[in-house]
Amino acid sequence: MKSLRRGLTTWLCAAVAGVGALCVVVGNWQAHRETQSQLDYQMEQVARIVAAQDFSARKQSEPLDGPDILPRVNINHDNEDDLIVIVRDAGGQVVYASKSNRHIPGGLLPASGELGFHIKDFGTGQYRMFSAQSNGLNIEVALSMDMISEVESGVALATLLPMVLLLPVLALVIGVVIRRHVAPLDASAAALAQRPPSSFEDLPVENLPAEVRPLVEEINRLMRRVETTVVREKQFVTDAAHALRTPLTALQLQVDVLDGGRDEQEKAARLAELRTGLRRIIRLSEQLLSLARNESAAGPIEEKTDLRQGLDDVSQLYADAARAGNVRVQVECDAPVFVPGNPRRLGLILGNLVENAIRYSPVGGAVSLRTSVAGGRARIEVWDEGVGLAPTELERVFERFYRAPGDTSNGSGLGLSTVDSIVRQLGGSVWLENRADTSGLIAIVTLPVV
Amino acid sequence: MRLLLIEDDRMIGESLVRGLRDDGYVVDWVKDGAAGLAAIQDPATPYAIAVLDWNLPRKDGLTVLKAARRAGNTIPVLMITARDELADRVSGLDGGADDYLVKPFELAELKARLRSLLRRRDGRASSEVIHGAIVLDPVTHTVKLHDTPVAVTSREFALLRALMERPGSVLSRTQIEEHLYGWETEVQSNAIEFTIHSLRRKLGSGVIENVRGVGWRIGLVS
Repeated sequence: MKSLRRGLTTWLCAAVAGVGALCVVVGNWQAHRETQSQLDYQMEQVARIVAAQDFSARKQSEPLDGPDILPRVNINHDNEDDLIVIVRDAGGQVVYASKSNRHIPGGLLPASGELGFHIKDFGTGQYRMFSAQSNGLNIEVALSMDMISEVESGVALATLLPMVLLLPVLALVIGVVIRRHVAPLDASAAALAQRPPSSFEDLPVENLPAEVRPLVEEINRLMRRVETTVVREKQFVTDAAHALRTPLTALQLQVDVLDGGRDEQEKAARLAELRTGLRRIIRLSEQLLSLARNESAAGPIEEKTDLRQGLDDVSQLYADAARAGNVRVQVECDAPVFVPGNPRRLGLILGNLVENAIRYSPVGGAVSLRTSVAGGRARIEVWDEGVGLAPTELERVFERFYRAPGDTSNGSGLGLSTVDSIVRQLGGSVWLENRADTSGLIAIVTLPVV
Repeated sequence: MRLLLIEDDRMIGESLVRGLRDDGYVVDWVKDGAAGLAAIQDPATPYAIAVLDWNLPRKDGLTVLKAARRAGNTIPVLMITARDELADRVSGLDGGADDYLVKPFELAELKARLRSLLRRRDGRASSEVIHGAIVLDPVTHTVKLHDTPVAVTSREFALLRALMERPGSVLSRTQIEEHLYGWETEVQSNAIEFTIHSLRRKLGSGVIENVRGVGWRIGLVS
């Protein structure tokens, strides 16, 4: 896994080290050039001062390195770092030689025979030399190359030492700064790791850097969406468990009374009750399943189904139930109409509505299914001749597990909420109206035509 | 033993009626709260006990119960409900329920709780009703005379129980009929006499005494 902190620290320190190394190289070269030109300038100045002296006044008896000759130049001491100066007249006779000439083998700097700056080797090492001619005098100034290197090293060290010492400090500062800036991320991660799975509170965004904030805000938004889903599913499970209680109780009691009953007829009646109870609970579990499936299904609806085919299928499916209740089911649909969704979904919509209509129809009543198309929408109506609903109940019956007062049928209270859920997903709407012509209910579904 | 059942679910209601009738209860069943309250408050039908569902159309069970208690009705009430939260149980019991049973439950438990409520109502230590040499056991639905089991029909059992639970009191024909028959039953004019005759034959002629012009009471059995 990539670590932001480790990556930043490593690369920044590497960059600092690289730049430092480059500085050493450049600094050395610079020190060399600076020192060279400085010393050259000094040698030239010394030569100029020496040339300005009057050596003719010097007495033969005076030593060659009389101290008063070059009073303003610090070359008349016997130090190894001194410049070596020698002056010869036109005849090659030495008229002046600094004390430092004794470092040269032979005690005197030999005449180089060249003019200007050049490098000579006298057996004990290389020397930088400057030779000039002035007023018939040959002036030569020399400095040991070892000396020059020593000075160069000193200069280079003076420039580079503070920098070299500061590099670890810089690395330390970089590390601390990075750590401090990454700390809010670590804190967020730790907070996220510690929270229990049931917690959906927002992660704090106040102290986060601007670059990380959108990420955490997006996580928070995702968490809220997950929370909504979890709450809804939890509610669904609670509702479902609750809804199962009544049919389960009935089933339990039906089993409990099974071995009672005096005659065969009574025993058969009790067994039949048990079967009805089982059917009720199976139907409920099927409806719960289709509702749960539908709730979890998401995304665009790409399929389409022929409404007329769906109506025919449903009226055939419920033919037995209609015959049992002596209810007539009529389908009025002239032309094929295509609506979104697959046949299973359309079947759930129409099946639930037709089942309701048959269930609440009086004996000998009629259920009619009517369709029409207007304004790009298909309208499906399911008419029954039942008792209808109180106006306050028309919307409430779409609530999950809700059953209208006085409803003694074995409905689960899930049919209409399933229909509502599917119809919404298909981009339509569903509602109930009481009939105006006679008692009864009209369930109306509108769906877009595709 | 006449019992009022107030329950809106058809399947639960039917099974409860069957199961309780098997046990000798005379069950009247109403399917909504308003009818339930009317039945509890009806002075013509003195129910020994009531089974009340909480979720009812028109008037919920708790409202029915509170209204009956406010009117001074002390009938033992067993509440049945799908609500199992502590707050629900507390408000049910505080609202006047004598016991509370959460769905789903088994018939055996409901019957045991009914017996317990009846025992408490009569101040008895055990479910058995004892009078002289006769022992009546509502749990096993058996009658014993001098420790010997005697086979009785459920109607005979109910009549004997009604008399034995009130030793010394005289029950009129109407009172006995109310204990023995629910709303739907057609009572034949000589049915009571027939049952009494049968009981006397099985347990001895002195078991039921006739108080002329008033009714019957439990007699001395040696």
